[in-house]
Amino acid sequence: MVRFHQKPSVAFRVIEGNAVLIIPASAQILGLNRTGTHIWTLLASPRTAEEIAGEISAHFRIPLERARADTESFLADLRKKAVVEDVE
Amino acid sequence: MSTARTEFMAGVALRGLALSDLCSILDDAKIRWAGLKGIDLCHRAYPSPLARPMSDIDLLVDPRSLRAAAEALIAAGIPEDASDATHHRRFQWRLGAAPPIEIEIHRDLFDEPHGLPIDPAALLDRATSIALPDGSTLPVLDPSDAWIHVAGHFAYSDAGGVFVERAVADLEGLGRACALDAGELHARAAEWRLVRPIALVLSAVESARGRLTDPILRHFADLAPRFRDPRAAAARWLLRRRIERALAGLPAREPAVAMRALLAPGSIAGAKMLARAASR
Repeated sequence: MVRFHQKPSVAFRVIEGNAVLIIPASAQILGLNRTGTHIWTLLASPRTAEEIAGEISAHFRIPLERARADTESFLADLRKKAVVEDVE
Repeated sequence: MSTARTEFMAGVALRGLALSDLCSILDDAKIRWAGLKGIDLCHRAYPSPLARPMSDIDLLVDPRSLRAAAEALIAAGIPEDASDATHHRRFQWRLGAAPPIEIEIHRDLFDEPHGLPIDPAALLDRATSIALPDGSTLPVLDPSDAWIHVAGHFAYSDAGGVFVERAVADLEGLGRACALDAGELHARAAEWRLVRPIALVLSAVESARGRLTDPILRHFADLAPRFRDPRAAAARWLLRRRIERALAGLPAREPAVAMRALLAPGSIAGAKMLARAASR
């Protein structure tokens, strides 16, 4: 199963609970909400989408199905923006 | 998050990253330093670092270490930017293509010559540190030193300047957050010979924008009538004019250096400043 990990080249800071990602090469900036920040923080070590969905479901007390859908959508967005990498 | 907020947050994030980098570089080079003004105040004087905008990062180093600090930054790949200031060196910290962060490494608290009995090394001896939200620590001036520096900078370097409301908020916030005492601050300001400039500028602020309510600001503003000499009267009148223009969003008409000459403690420094102002 694919595991996801923060790309080391992406700089970020968490400011008042919200992560701000900066992609140095393009100077692209990405502001995350609290849920996104929680997922980003989890991605400090490689995780599968299923593991993250489980964490999100437990942390925010939402049904696993909804957490799974939200996580997959968010990870797809992070992949599109090239701020995460796949780890085998 | 809106685009404007994301960009604002990105600026805060970049400054945080720059600060972490600077901290490692200066600590590795064994250089004593302390954060000044915005980078200190945003953490100590405001409920959130987002509440205090700033344009650059100002750091104080021991005057004997300025060259070593500059060399350490340059060796770490942080290029120096040209500067005509007498008491600091300016650098640009960059993260890829992101907008650069301006860094100023100061060997003194005010433009030289200022004629004030300030010993930066002594300030660093009694410096303290604050915990940042990311778990790191930031060395900063002793709270009373920081307050006098901000007030003195407002009076002496900005001479009323353009950031009137921000200066008042900085002073009120720091005084409250650190439970500072007016009598103690007065004594410290007297050591630095800054009672007169601070009293005159705060009195001028009060004349221009209404009564100050903060007890420490009130203490200093109430001292202004003690200074009755023609230079003090001229300084107060000009400060008020500068502050009124600043509050109206208009540029100042009088060069700050001429204002400093009026505020300077009746010294050779004041005469030198007047000469510099005249030569511009």
